[in-house]
Amino acid sequence: MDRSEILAKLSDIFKMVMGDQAAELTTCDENSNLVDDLGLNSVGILYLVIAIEEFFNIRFDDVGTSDLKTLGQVVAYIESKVS
Amino acid sequence: MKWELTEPYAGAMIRVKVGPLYHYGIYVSDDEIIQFGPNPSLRMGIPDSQLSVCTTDIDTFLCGQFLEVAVAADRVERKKMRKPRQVVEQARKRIGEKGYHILRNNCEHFANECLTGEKYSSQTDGVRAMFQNMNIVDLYVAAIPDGEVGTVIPPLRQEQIANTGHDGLRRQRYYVWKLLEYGLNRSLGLKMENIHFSRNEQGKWSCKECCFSLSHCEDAVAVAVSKKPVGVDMEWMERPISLKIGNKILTDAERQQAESIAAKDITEFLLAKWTAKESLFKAGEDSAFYPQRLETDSGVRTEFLQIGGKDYCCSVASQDAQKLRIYQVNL
Repeated sequence: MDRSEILAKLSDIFKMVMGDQAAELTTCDENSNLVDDLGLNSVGILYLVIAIEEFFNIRFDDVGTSDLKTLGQVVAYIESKVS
Repeated sequence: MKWELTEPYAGAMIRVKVGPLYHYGIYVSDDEIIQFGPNPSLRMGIPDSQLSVCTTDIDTFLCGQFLEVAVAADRVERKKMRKPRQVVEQARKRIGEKGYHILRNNCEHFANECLTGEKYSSQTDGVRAMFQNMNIVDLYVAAIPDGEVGTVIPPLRQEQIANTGHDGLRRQRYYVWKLLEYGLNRSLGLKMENIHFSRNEQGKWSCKECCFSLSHCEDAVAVAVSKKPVGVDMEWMERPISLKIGNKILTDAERQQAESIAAKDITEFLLAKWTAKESLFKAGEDSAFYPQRLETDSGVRTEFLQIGGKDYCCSVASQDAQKLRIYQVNL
């Protein structure tokens, strides 16, 4: 799965988690901060990481979720796990 | 476990609401609550690596919200709970401990482990179960590209493709399988080498890990992927169904409906009905197809798509058809 496919799928997950308030990730800058720019709160982050684990079939084992601050960091982490 | 708005006691597991979630701890006294990391309301900007098992007072723990105390729901739960003195001892032993993880080692994991010795979080388990039970219905469509037919997994499918004499059909079978490979990975994170495929006597392919359905027509292929039974059928609009044949596939009510449809729209109507009924059949368990008995009012979504410059009618049958997401892919 390449980076653009990961971003597209992540966009689907964001819409599931945040509903109508979800930003269109495919047009967001990868430096976008999950909290400040994309509007995720602590609940949203919990839902997001669980949804990512379930839908990408990966585990956030070796990184703290607080280490993933930007969209680019999330995409890069998923990319490292699915390749 | 039940939760009550009651007076806590030393060794009680307690919680406080923080938005839609809860923060958990072990009560020792009003001046000593042992928790893994502070109340999330006070935690902004602190990385997980710096969170530790620590003590706080009741007011800081609650941040103005109500205290709830865990009470065993039944005798089984009561037996699992340690004596209050032991709970306090366990919690105090772990003060300073780090290694916080929102999914696998959070405040609820800590509190439950102190209380019963079992490390679990009903909150994260509940959210996870919600996503696991969430069905998806994804339709992938693609134009069949020029290019050589390659090899696929599993060998049974490869054999079927290789033994297909008709070139056009061979290409359809190969590319629908490549689209399946893409769709299973994109929708469910599945890889072909880990999937257990099988083929029944009627030639229908399935697997243990999920549900899928295949369709190919003219120069396009379609794959539907879901966690529950799903069917897909696609037909090229340039190959219409005559009303004479159409009447053999329609129910009485649909035949009546067809009489009031303008001649220019009848092709669309018949193709929509045909693909809908085929997709319902493919999603079901029946071995024989009786289209005139199949109602298509619910559980089916029909779309008219342009793929590779040609017009197709495509229907997807699923109990969650309203969740359908469509992806047009370049193979």
